[in-house]
Amino acid sequence: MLKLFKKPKDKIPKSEIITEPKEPKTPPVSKCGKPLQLDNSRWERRLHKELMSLIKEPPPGVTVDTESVQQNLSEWKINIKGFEGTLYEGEDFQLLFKFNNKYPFDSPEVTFIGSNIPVHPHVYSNGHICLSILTEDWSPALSVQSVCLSIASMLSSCREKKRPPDNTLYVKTCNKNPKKTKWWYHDDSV
Amino acid sequence: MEEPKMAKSPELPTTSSGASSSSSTLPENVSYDKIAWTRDITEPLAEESSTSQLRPLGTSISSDSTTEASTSNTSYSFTGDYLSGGNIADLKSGTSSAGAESASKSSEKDKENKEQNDESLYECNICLDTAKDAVVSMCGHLFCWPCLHQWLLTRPNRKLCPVCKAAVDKDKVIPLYGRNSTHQEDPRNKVPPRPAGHRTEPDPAPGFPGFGFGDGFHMSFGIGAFPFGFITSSLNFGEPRPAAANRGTTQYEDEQTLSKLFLYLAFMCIAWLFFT
Repeated sequence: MLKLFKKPKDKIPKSEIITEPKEPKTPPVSKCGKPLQLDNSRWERRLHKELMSLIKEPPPGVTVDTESVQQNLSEWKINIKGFEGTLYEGEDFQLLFKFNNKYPFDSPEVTFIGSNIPVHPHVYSNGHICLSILTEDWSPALSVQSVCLSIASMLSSCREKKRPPDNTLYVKTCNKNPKKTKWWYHDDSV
Repeated sequence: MEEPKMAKSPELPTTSSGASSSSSTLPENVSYDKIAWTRDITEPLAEESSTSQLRPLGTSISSDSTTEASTSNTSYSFTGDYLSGGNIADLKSGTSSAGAESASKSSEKDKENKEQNDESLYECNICLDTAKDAVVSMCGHLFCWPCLHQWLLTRPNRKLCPVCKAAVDKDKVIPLYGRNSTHQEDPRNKVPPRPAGHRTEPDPAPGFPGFGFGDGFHMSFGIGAFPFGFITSSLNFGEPRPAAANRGTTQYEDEQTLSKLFLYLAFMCIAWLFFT
């Protein structure tokens, strides 16, 4: 009986990650006979729309690196400013969004890149971000803009600049793709 | 209150009235640009009626029509696709005079904003295009059926509305049929009447895994209030009994017969206890 209670306690580490690849998803198959329209044009169309609206009315502190987008529509570089009155005031960060052709049904791969990676309890020093909407809570109604806003608000609500407790271990062992990490979302406060 | 109206006025050709007024609207184009994006969709309608009352007061209809004619090649070639692919250089190409250009530009912007507002009302929440084979979820969110269907296939065990995370399902969406759309490719044949928007909560997410081995075995703990619950339920402290029904009603008669029945039952029980 005692073992029973001990077991889950042992299982949960203080860290947020258990690095293991996700099982490969089976490709969606239409049940109504008609093949689903999963052609290239659709996700590109949506990306194009998002890009135009992001250029036209960018949220505060967010700018798109249009050159990077022109080269490759599936990889965007986005600059984010640390908001005034927060711990990251005056700092500039760069995010890399990678889209695959399942977008928007599959979430984009979002990491911090560049020399300045924010010191934040949910951001690893290799740029990986622990944010639920980037994996399991992703919804196709979310957009690049809303992801940027979420990250900006995550940074803004930080009260102590520190790396995640398991940073060194994770950075050594993790996959290059943050979506391959099985994140454990436990801290809603920051 | 004044500014939007003045900026709004070039929407109708009569109010632009040549180059004199367009020079005054020119500096406002910049600020108006920002206003227009956030404006409520119902507003243009009200203002349209107010400006249409001004129409007989317009100075010279003939001159307006000429300005419109000179710019018509741009203003009417213009569609909602402007946002996705066009640029402003396209707009400038066909215009001749500076005043006419600004007037046509602002009127185009108006039209565009209106169109855009109208269209974005019916955009699919997934592909951001105007919804094709439109369906609406019980929570009131609009999607293309192919988009929503694919989303439901992507996460077969967690079917949530992409917008509000309410529960959605194939059977819980309603197809929307416009006037000339007889060949809908919807899986269902029957269209239920469109209900008011209401949302059902999704099944509780597996947040706390509980104690147990793997999937098969689970344990749970609970604290019950057995003696108190027993006392309250059998001795009936908390709630007062409902008032008796009025005499003469059927409910009254029912209650009477019921109470008699229970009385007899009680007697029988007691008798049974005594005689055995």
